[in-house]
Amino acid sequence: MPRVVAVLRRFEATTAVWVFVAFVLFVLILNPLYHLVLESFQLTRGQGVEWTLRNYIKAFTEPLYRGPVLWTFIVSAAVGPLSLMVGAAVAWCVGRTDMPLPGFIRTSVLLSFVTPPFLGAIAWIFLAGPREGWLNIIYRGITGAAGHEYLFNIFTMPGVVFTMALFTFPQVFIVVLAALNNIPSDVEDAASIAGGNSLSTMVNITLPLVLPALMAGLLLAVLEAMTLLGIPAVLAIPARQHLMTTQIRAIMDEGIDAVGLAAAYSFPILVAAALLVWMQRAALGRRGYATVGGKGGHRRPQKLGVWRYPVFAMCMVPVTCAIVLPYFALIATSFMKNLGHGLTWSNMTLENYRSIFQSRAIASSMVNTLLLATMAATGATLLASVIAYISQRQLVHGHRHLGLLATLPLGIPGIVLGVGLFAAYTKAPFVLYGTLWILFLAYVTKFLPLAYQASNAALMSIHPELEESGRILGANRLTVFKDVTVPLFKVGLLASWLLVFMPSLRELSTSALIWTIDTKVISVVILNLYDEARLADIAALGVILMIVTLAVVVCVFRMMGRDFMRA
Amino acid sequence: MRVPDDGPGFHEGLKGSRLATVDLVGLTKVFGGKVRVVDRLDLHIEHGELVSILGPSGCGKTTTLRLVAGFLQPDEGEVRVDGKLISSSSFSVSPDKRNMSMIFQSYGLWPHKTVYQNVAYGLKFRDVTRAEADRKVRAMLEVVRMEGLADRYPAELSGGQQQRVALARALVVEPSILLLDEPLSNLDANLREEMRFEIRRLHDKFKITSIYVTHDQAEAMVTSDRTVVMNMGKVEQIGTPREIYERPRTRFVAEFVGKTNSFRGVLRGRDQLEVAPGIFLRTAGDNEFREGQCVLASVRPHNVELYSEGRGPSATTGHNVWSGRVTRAHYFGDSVDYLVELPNWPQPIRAILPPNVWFRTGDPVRLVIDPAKCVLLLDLPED
Repeated sequence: MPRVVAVLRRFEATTAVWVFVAFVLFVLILNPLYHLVLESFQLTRGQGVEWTLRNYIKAFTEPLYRGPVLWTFIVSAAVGPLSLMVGAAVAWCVGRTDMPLPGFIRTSVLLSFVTPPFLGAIAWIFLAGPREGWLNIIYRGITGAAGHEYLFNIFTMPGVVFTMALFTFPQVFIVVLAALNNIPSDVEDAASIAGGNSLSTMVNITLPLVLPALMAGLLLAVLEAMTLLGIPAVLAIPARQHLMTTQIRAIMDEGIDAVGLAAAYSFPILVAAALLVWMQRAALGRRGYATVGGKGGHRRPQKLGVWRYPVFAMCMVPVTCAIVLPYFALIATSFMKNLGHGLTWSNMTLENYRSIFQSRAIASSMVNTLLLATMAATGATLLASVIAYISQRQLVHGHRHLGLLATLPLGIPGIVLGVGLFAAYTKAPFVLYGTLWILFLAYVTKFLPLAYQASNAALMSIHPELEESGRILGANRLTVFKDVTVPLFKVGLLASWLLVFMPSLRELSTSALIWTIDTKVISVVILNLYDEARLADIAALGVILMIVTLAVVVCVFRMMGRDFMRA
Repeated sequence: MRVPDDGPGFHEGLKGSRLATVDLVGLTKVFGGKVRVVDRLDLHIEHGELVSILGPSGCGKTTTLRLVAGFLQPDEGEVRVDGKLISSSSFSVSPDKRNMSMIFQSYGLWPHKTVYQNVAYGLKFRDVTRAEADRKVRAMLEVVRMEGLADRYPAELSGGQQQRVALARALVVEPSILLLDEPLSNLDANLREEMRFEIRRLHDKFKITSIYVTHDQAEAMVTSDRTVVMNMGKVEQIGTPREIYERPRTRFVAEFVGKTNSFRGVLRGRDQLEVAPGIFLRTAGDNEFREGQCVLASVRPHNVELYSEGRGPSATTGHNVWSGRVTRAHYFGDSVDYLVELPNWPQPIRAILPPNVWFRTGDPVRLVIDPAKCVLLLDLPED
């Protein structure tokens, strides 16, 4: 008994908070994984369940399921190097040369990061669909080829690879640019003074220093290609080839009894993703996420001479493909009566927007999406900031595990999370399926690592002595957190909120497995509209989605800006 | 209770403050399972005493302070205030319940609060009315001469002003113990000198039991009643600044606190140190050491006198007198720093003299050392 009393005497409110947080993290992340594993070994037999390996045997022996595994491997292996080449080259041009308008290229690449991949894929159908794609129409116009001939066909595996690379190269770009910016100029100067020419400096000094970032970028791109649902759902299925993600979705569509099979089939992606994230961490080493920015300072750029403009033009190619053309196609299409009739005044209409705003289903999906994104951003930010606080101030034993747990979802592909959530929350005692709560859990879990990294970075800039001086003056931990940490932390919290809000607006790969009629979100609506071939409506909805996203980004930046001014 | 004699209207404000003794008993902190950052430290601090802990970085002085503050919990030993246990390996009063104040190296001023709000914060957690709190904050800002800048934000203040705000914030809550963690290390040299006196002035005014951590011996000398010299987690010596400087007990103390000439040798008789075969240095002697023991003699460069050949006291006066040659002379404005080589001596001797006499490199000189200034130390093997 005296021990209990001693324990109680040392009990602080903080302890309660961290126990609660640890519990929430466990439920959030480990419960779906637990059910995923459980279900993969179960088959429903009438009333009872049977423990079996049959799900695994079925998933990896039937030819129907083997093809997607092979193709997922091929596509990822192709997307990775392609993204790496494009992303690293553009990053180097932006960060290290006197190419004109580096800021423009940088902003454009980051903008393509905001674009939902499925929307980009649909935009590329408008551009490079074999029949009605504008590029093919132009091609036929120039060469006089027959109506069934085409130059590009986006509904092919190379088309899938191309589109995926467009939306994964920004990741490589960000990581590599950060690494380039982190190389102190004097390191390169030292090499030049020692007599190295610019080529040998680049090969011997710059390259080894950015090699970890290149590796990390490659792994990120492969991970993304492997786990994307939107692009293969839009482009690969018409090409009559499932990838693993679309195959999982197809299995799940068969009904609740197929969950075990889907779970078993998810395993290779889960393992591969975890491995990729682990390797990527190892590559970046202690630097962690390279997006934390560099030391700045002036760096002498590489003189390109007569090549300045050609290099700029080269950088514009991926930007054009990822931003200019798709957005042009999307916006133009959203105003078109008939997609085959081209851009003429007589073909213009506002009908697409009208039909969207009149559809009750679409309106409710917009409300759902905004509500969910707001809730998820708030929830994830709250949770992440508390975890970041506990782990950085080393408040409890095992604080490191708590931080690690918070970044664990990075290694859980969205589609796998979807299967796990479905498995965990369709049965008693926690039936969340059919409510918005399951989507809320999905978004919080999936984007917790983003919020955690933002919170962590922001917290790192708050000196512990600022809190300790509050503590010694008589404030307990929670009071200090409220009076000192939170006010100083506000900007970081906003960044974290934004980092969850934006991807929540367009989350697809998890939502696609756990939505119901009453809980549709915009991304799911777009995919359903696609199945109904209502492309003009998608274009209009896509434009609205992007406007909302950008408006939120601008608003939050304004708010943060004002706050900066006051501090 | 001692009441400050020159506080303008602050006497009533101090009624709540109680003075306290601090006892550190066998205090030990181990980092990473093996590094004994603080190693069985014993220290008693009297009511109203200002004790400085002096040592190089990594000696465990800041860790000691954080153990007292309650930010760290000891692995062994205890911290007691007024005899009452507040920290042990199994028990710890949280920092907010210790009624202590702390000045941090970075000041720890909250950038989102004004000077006034910073200073007033701690009073929120004490039983004072708003009007009383306001009066106390204003009075304290006056004491640190910051009354005109109450509405500024910390970023709008100079380093010295920030320091004063930090002091005001720490003192306004009338702590029973004040902890200072290298409070002046972020200031430039001139300001640092000024703030040393300021801290001592405030201590004389409020007489709060204080622990002052620093690596700067001048700070420790000026501010403290007693100084604890620490090295590698252990106490090397405890004493008044004068004792520490004039009677260092270990080579580390002699060399860390001020400049010194150390001579290694064998004790012959009570006070003769044989520093080289046949060469004897007469010292102050020390009953702790026996004849034949290997010991060190420490001589401050300030206590070495130089004269032109043929001048100054002769050996018959009982002084150590040798002839030598200047091998280096640096002019410092308020002093000249010499290196003098003596024939057959194992090492040159450093001497610092006022600049009214001026020898050049190569000049022959007569070097004189008063035996009373040659302090004997235990000769520990070097680490």
